[in-house]
Amino acid sequence: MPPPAPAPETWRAANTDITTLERQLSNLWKKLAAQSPTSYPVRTHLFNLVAFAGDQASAQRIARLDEMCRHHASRAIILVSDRSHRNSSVDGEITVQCTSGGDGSSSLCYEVVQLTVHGRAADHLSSIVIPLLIPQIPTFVWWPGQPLFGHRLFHRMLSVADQLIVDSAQFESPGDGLASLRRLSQGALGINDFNWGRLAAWRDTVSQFFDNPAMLPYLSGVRGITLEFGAGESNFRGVTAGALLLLGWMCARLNWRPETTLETLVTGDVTISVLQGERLIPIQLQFADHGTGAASRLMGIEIVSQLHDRPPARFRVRRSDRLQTVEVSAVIHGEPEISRVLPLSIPSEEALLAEELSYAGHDPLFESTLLEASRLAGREVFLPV
Amino acid sequence: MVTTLEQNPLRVGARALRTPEPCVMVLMGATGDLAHRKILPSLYNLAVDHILPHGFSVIGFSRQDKSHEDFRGEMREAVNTFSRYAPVQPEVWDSFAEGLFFQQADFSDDSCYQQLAECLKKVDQQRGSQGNRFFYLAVPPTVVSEIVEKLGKAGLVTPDARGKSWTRVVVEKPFGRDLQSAERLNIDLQHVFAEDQIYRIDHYLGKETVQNILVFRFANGIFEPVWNRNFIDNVQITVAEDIGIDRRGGYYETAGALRDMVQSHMLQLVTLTAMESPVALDADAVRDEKVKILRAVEPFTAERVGRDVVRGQYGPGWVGGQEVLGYRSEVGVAPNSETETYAALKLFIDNWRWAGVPFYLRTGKRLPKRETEIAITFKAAPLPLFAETAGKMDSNVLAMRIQPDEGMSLKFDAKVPGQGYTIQPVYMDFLYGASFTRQSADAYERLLLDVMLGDPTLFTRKDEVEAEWRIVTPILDAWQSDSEGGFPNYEAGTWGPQCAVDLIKADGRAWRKI
Repeated sequence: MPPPAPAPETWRAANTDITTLERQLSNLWKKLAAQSPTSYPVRTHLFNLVAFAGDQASAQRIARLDEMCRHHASRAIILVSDRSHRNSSVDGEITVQCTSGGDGSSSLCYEVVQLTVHGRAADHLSSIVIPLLIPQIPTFVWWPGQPLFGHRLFHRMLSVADQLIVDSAQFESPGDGLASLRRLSQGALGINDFNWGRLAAWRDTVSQFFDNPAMLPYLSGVRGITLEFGAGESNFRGVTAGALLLLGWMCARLNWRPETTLETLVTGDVTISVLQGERLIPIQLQFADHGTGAASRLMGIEIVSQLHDRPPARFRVRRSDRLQTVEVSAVIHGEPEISRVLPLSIPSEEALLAEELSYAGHDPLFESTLLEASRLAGREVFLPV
Repeated sequence: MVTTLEQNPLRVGARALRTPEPCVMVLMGATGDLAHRKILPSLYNLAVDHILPHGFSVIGFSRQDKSHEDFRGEMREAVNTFSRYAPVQPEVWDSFAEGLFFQQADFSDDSCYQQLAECLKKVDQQRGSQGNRFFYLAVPPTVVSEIVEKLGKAGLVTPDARGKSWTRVVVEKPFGRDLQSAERLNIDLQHVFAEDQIYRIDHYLGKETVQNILVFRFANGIFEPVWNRNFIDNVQITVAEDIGIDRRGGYYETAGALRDMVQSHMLQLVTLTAMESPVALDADAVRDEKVKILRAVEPFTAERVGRDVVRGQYGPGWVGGQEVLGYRSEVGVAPNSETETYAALKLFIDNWRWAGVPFYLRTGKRLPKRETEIAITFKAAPLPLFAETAGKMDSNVLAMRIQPDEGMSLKFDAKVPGQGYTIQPVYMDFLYGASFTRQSADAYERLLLDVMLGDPTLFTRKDEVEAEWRIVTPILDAWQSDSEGGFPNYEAGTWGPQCAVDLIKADGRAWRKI
């Protein structure tokens, strides 16, 4: 019978300082090790995660981080900013914990340091974070909501980051936000976007049609694309950001150029167009009712393609109204129609975070997508020749 | 204007792997244990992970008579029992099962292969698989040559390993019984298939941690300078199993530990531990280096077999608090069986890197625990500076654990806090499970995908499998002429026979306590 995981060790204090925090972290590990002297806890750190909460709503969402930490070997630092306080001070809470593996044979240990920073100290969060970072491993800064792209606080925080994690579906202005991300990505910083992760299975499923060499020529003959979103009480920002990323990806990979742009939020059916060489490809963004759970979600993609004077081929991915599966089908004249059903559930924020934490460094595909998404959003500034 | 693309531009830079082209798998032995436990569940897992190609199909080809629906029902049950995605999602399963077909077969009857050809033609038309197919031979080794010959005769094998309408064949282990039979099997296979169409499977190579040996050795610069006879004292490779032979008595009686474990899995671990860095990460570059190691293994003469190889067979005993039968009392085993369930040996690799470094290999059934590891013991510090106060100091050991707790540990000495120089060994551990919690795919998933993608890197090449048998066959011959093993010679639940202890003790060393 394998030994159970040791109980978590916790420490908290108001108005503390960095030296005390570092000492307490060390003490908690010793206490944890003392619980099981024959099988000491193994720590393998893969990254630092710094999560910024500018308000209580964000803080509550990040509080679920604990669940995420159970699945990753990390040091997580949660920063709650309270700039309105008159005096500068830092309240700290530390938890170190190990969880048993499924068979109890191995355990994963992690640390969560939550700091509530009051007063002017909240303008200098990076000075608090730097001493607590484990050196030589990547540091991810997770910024829920739209980052304060032009604010000094955001830029100071980025000084400690190797990677910035955002969710472009939450951007107030998706076009501006994606253009800002594009500019940031041109430096050393790597960017991770939950929204890009949400679209991964869709991009993968669309790509899969053309892995078959016999289907590959159809990519050169695209005549039209339809993206369908669930109608209802809508998050138009998420719809717009998702459409920009998906179409930006296609433009980047297929050398298409925007002919008309999506400069404002997509709030109803709209058609834009891109150019493939000299040929105009219409792209329809449509809303259709698939039930309340489907509101604002991407529900289908259809690509119509035509080679020479053959009848058009249709490549379709349709999400079921229960949001658990997609039906994938290719209808090509003279060929049997083959459709299949694949699982495609909606990933939780924790799952998206866990996925993005597996990727450090620059993602050239995402960065080229950001460039095209910015162009599609009409945010590219053309300099006079 | 329509331009021509040579590769899918939507895959460039994507995190997801490229998926294979549409194809059909003909599963020979579709009603067998392997198909139920491993192959179908792995295929379903690949489907759930969106990796299987559009229109992928399986034609089960087996002796039993059953309908497509019966076959689908059985496979659903198998997937529900053995898949990591069990229970199946009904809509996803129904869609996957549309690609499952069954055809009754007598492997020796030519007409069955003609029927198979018809069936393949129909499936190609219905499912768009364009003549791409692979035959998975999950059948007893005795029928492999016959099946291959009949496949060729029925015109079911195209000459291409890739490109348009490719054909490949997957052959399960055991690949022959000795060097002669392995060579014979290779000739039979190559009579019909080109070498690049043949995928000899050793599922150990599909394991994540086995592949990590390559990463560990060749992605980290710090190990290379000490990875040789100047710094390494010996290497121990252990593949210990706590289970017996389950229901495989019939097979095991014809195999034994040497054929079942040493010839394939353990020699593969030796090659990965000892090989030079390949010039590229492609199939032939990696396998070239592995073959060089196998060729450099000092041959086992009859005299060396007597000195450096031992065998054992378990008697009754206790494992994990359960009383278990001795081998000779297992189902399907002769009461006077001389089949070995344990083997240990010492081998040398005669090249500049490893000359004089003993590789100790041991494997057995009904040992106290399940454990597979490669342990590299380094030479002791040249000057025993602390010997007076600390006594005899242990050597540094780097252990690569393959299963069950995949990871690495490095043993080194540290000073115990206090006034003197009391020294105690400590372990720096890296556990896969404590660092990466992403679930590893089953070895068969990786290997099946590689077959579909046409990547043979993790499969054994003709010269490789023959080189393995060239090492092992002299031992089998020597044992054949001296069939009296004095069995049973170890109690179930112990670490093997005394002769294994004596084998390593003669060199002033001991087996690692694991």
